[in-house]
Amino acid sequence: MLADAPVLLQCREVVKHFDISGGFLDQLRFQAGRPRRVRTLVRAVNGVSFDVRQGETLSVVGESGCGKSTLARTILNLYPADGGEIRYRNQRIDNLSPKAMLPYRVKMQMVFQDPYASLNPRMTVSRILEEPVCYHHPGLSRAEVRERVAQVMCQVGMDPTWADNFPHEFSGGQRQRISIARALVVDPEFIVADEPISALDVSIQAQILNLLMDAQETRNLTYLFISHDLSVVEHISDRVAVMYLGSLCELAPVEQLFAAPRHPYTRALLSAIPRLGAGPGPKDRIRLSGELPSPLHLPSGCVFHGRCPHARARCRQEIPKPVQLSATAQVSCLGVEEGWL
Amino acid sequence: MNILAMNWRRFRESQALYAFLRDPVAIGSFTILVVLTLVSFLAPWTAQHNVYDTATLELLDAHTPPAWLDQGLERYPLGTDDQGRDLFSSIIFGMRTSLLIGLGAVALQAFLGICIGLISGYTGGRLDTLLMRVADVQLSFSTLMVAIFISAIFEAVLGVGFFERYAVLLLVVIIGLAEWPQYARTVRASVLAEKKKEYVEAARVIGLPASRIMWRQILPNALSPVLVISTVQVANAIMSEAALSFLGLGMPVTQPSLGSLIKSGFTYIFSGSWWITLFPGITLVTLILVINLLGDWLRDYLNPKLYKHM
Amino acid sequence: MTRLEQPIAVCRTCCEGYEFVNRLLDVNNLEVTFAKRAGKFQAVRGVSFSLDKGEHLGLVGESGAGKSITGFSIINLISKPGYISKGNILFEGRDLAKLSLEEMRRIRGDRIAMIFQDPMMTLNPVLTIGTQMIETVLAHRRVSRAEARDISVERINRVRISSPERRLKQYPHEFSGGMRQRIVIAISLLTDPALIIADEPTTALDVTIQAEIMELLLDLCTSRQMGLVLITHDLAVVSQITQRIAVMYAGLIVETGPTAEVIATPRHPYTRGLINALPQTRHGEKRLRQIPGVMPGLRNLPAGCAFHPRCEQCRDICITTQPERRTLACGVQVACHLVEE
Ligand SMILES: Nc1ncnc2c1ncn2[C@@H]1O[C@H](COP(=O)(O)OP(=O)(O)OP(=O)(O)O)[C@@H](O)[C@H]1O
Ligand SMILES: Nc1ncnc2c1ncn2[C@@H]1O[C@H](COP(=O)(O)OP(=O)(O)OP(=O)(O)O)[C@@H](O)[C@H]1O
Ligand SMILES: [Mg+2]
Ligand SMILES: [Mg+2]
Repeated sequence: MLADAPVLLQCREVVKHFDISGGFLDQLRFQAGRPRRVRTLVRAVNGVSFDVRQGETLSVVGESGCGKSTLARTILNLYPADGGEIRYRNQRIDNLSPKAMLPYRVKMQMVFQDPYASLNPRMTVSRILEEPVCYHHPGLSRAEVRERVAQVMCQVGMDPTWADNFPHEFSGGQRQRISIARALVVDPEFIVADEPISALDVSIQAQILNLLMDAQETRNLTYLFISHDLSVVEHISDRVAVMYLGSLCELAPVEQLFAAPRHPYTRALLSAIPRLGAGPGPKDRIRLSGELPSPLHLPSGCVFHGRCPHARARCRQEIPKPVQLSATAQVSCLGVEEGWL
Repeated sequence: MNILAMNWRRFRESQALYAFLRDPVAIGSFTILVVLTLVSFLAPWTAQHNVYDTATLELLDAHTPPAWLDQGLERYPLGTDDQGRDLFSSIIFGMRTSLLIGLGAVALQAFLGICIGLISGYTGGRLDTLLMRVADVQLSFSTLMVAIFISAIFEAVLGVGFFERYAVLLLVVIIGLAEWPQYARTVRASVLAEKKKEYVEAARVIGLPASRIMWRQILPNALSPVLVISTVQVANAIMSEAALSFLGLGMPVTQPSLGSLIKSGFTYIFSGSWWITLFPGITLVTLILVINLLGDWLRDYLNPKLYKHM
Repeated sequence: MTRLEQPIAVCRTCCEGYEFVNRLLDVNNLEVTFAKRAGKFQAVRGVSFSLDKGEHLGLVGESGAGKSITGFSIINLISKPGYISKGNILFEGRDLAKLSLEEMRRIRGDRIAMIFQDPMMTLNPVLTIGTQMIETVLAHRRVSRAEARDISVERINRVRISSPERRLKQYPHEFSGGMRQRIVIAISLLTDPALIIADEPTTALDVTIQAEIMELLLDLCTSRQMGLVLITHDLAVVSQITQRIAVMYAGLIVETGPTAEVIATPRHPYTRGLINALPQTRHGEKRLRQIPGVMPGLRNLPAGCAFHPRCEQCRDICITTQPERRTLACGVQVACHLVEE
């Protein structure tokens, strides 16, 4: 349905590495009797390419530490990208100065995971919500700012009379509403939500998911939704991207992905979802052998080959290129490329 | 008005007030500190003699013992010093000078330390390494040594006369410069912890400039350890002043501080005039003790590990 | 893998037949009070449940409902401001609430083992796995060091970790999160306990690892006839692992019964709300069916049924009187005025 929607965000071969080798003295190592400078790199995101189309919800799933949050923060230019290109409405944004980035800050917002850490404990709700408006629209009068904040608070289901309270006076679900209100108050087009519900209770999760879906409808938002809860992802997304160890394995429309996963890792992941009322014991779970490798020492070739039940010799040597299955689906697997999977 | 009332309510219902009212040591120390501070800052009214006014000096009354001793005089409850100044008044004025220097020096330390710690912690990288190495080097000398060094330079450059005239100000600068690394390290540590929190990222997503994030978002959250070390630092600064004055590098004898009083009496301690040293000494110890006790209470209160089961 | 299903079938029949011979744990009207400066409040307000030998019970509910406190009180691990103020806990014929500390210590870790969400609650970071396991065996059994070592090796084998001899020499930080949780399970198995209490053992782990750990736990418990109390907020996991389920809300068990029955036809409005709020049970609609509001704090519980402010079918009687727990013909116990007998 979204195949003909315009592309909002493009990522091309995005790379992000963290240098964790510390100061100069920490980097010195003795190798073969000589001091050498050794850098330790965490290869968090390695050449990820995908498009986000306007109005869709693209979810990113994957195991802990596979680089979902890093990818999201790199897209928002919170981390400088180490390679590749990020385009927003066909304008490159990954190399902009903070000042040149300002117009995009209004368009792209983020909702965070931890409702306790994502609100400044020393600021009242009204200050938290007014600050972005005042900063981006210095021309507005105080009354106009308040009006706008009150409107957004109503939309996220918060009573505007609570505006003078501090975040610690609210429950986790309410804080997450404030967090969403902060993102909505500058009237963005694109919101990155980094596990916005994983710190919340089941009964509250549904409230927040509904809120996000309502906001999407009324404001025509585009979401990049990060989660590790696959049943939530299945419900909320239009397309799903599966990441493994900093690489994108598979990207497909949600029905297609859950009905007929192509990448072996996606298959293993989907088979592990606990299903309500499925009876005791996951029956046909695909068991992965071996341990999750560390992003400090990436395996050669396909990052998944060490645990893949179908791996062949070529997988150990060659990094698979994304294969475009259709306009909206891609998969990075040599098996699919060569047709034996 | 409304906000004021609300803040007052918040304060009255706060955990801090409750914890404070339950701790007799904290209440005692606080009361003594408030009394001492009030008495000393109202010195022109609380002291009988203005010790800065040389016209009131009676050199003949020098070395009068405290009033309850044989040769004591009613006029001088704690006796007089070697210049015939009333010791009680001198102590009050001296305490005022000491407190002024202590507070001023801490204000300077805090200002320098917070700026440097904040910038160092937030920007990180080379600048951080450089600033922290400077702090380390300075910390590896004792505070007093640094202070002696700086004050020697000041005296040499500015001349003794100038030094004596602006002694209070210069001592504030000397002690302030000598102790900023304490603040810088404390602030940097808590900035590093705060910087990782998501609200800082949220501010960056909004596009706020770094300076605004540092000062308006991070700093208020990084201040509670600063509060704790401030009390201890005031006590330390008063001690440093006393020590410098005792060594003859601080306040001149004409402008009494607790340190210079102790020093001026020290010469006579074996010729029988023990009170000139003893009473300023007791005052100094009391002052330092109550400030440190309050600091301890504050640290215990703000340390959630100790107060988990309140 | 038939080994998953077989023992459960055996167990179900034995539950019906020899109910009293087989009773392992009987918690009657348990009440846990916290005495704080702001006043006393009850975190657990009269909880009763029972567990047969080899039976698996799932304790679910939202955060703060009192699940962990209930679990901890079974092994008397409640820390200072809290204490068991009422009720008894019969385990193998003895009342655990009345035992001395020394007697309790002997039972804890021997007949009853506990697995925490964070494996590092159990593991000491500065000791090797081997030291910790051997010490645990020696503390509870009169055996030689060599025998204790053999037992440890056998248990590590049982949790399907390769080369156990080598693992004994490793430190906890050398293992990944999932492996650490397996080690903790191995430690809990050392003394062949009759009951394992697992407090959110997989909440911090990924779906694939969660599936592995749950499968392992299920296998071990069924093959050795161990009782399991699984504390979690994930209904789907509970539905796959346990035979019986207890739903907690604000310190009370509002519904308990055979898992399949409760999940298929939830009777309490809260249980129904929880299940309907899950994305997996969507009814073809995009919006999720959320439960409005939040769970009230334990300090200011509403009068009557604690759930009434959020209940859509609330009647006058719900506001005034607390519902009694009633046993229905199908074996389900519900505390709700609206449920007909
Ligand atoms: N600031 C950082 N410095 C160094 N390494 C980092 C940093 N942030 C993330 N990493 C590393 O990069 C990798 C990817 O981390 P990331 O937080 O993106 O994972 P994630 O997929 O979001 O995981 P989770 O589901 O746990 O949130 C991890 O190995 C992590 O340790
Ligand atoms: N040490 C304590 N002091 C005071 N109250 C406590 C303490 N420990 C727990 N509580 C209270 O007891 C109630 C039940 O807590 P419990 O830890 O059992 O919840 P839970 O159901 O396990 O939640 P979660 O899913 O978050 O683990 C909570 O409301 C909590 O505030
Ligand atoms: Mg993350
Ligand atoms: Mg718990």
